[in-house]
Amino acid sequence: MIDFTMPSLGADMEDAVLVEWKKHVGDHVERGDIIAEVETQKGDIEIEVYHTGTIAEICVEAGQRVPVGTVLARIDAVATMTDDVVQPATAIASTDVAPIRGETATTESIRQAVAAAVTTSNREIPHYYLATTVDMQTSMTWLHAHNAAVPIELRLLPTVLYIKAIANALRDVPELNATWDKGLRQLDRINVGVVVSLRQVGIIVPTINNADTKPLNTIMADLNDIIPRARDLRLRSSDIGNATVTLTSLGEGGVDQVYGVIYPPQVAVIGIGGVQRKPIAVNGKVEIRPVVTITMAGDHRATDGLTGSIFLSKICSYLQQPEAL
Amino acid sequence: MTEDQIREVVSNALASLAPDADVGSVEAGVDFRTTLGLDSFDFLQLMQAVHTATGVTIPEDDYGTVTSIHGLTVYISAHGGQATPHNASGDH
Repeated sequence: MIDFTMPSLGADMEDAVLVEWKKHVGDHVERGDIIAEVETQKGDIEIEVYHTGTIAEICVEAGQRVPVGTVLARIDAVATMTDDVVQPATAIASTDVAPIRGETATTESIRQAVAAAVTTSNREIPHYYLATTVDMQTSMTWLHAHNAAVPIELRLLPTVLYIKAIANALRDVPELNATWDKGLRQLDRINVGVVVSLRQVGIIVPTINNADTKPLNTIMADLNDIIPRARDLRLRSSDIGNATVTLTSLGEGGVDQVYGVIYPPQVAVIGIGGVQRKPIAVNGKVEIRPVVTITMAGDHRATDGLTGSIFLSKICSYLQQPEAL
Repeated sequence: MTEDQIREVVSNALASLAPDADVGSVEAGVDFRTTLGLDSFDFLQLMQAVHTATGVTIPEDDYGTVTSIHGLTVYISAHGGQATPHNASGDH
């Protein structure tokens, strides 16, 4: 018998309201099925089940607010499959999260969730910062040719190249694909959280899971799926709360560089500015080329600047070979 | 498609990308990306919505001319937008 518990959907989540059961006692469930809907500060989230079996018992009634880790149901599993989804350490969850009011997430509750996470981060994480400027000519030329050759629904955005380059670089520098909770714990999966702006409301960070194993088209399809759902606050448990690193890109507003705040218990955040045409030295001559500034903030308890520096240079070299991504 | 039909397609597509904004108040000649706070992801979604609704495929090289409601409407009109939702083959 498997205990199905209230998942942690981010270090800033302490509890949630079970809004509705989608499955009932006696129902057969498959791994990945949506079993319930819960109300969090980030909106109503559909919770997926990680086992295949039959629901034997429902332990929490709809309408109840329960802490993370509470047993919600018991499942008679036919084949137990383990899934090392990252459960961010709840120990460092902020205690100053405002209670949820109303039926669903409000502008205020999302703002409060962001406020709590960044406050915890700045209070507990000694950040170090690095930046590098990357020549994007090869990547942009490749992307442009690719997008001209494929149907419009298969066009890629530069963000897809960044996500894959980051995921590959994390495979090379696994110390940054980790959590810090009184010690460094490296993670097997590489799940890249992508900061999505909710415009005036705040931000939400859905995840591209196992980004290192996915081809560019799949990463783009994932973005096409999760960004609209993130903006509608219709995310599932597998979309959120399991990022192992975070990417923030603010290039659209025309800023050159962005320095992020680490989302605990992660140990790094990567910031990517806009692609700008600037003069740079190429083979001893000045040329105007598309360049982008990539920054990283690292948790100095977990790693040192040298590690971050190697990581950034790995990202740069992956971006010089877009066809291999 | 008539100019009015094209304008409606464009307005509806923009409204679904920026549900909190008043698309009707956006001036026809200004860059709607700035006015409505659209990013490159939204812009690509707009290009796909235009393709689905009119059959017109806008290459990246032409993105610069379709960032205003006026520019986008003229472009669709000039490239023979057809009000057929199943026209998936584009305008080539």
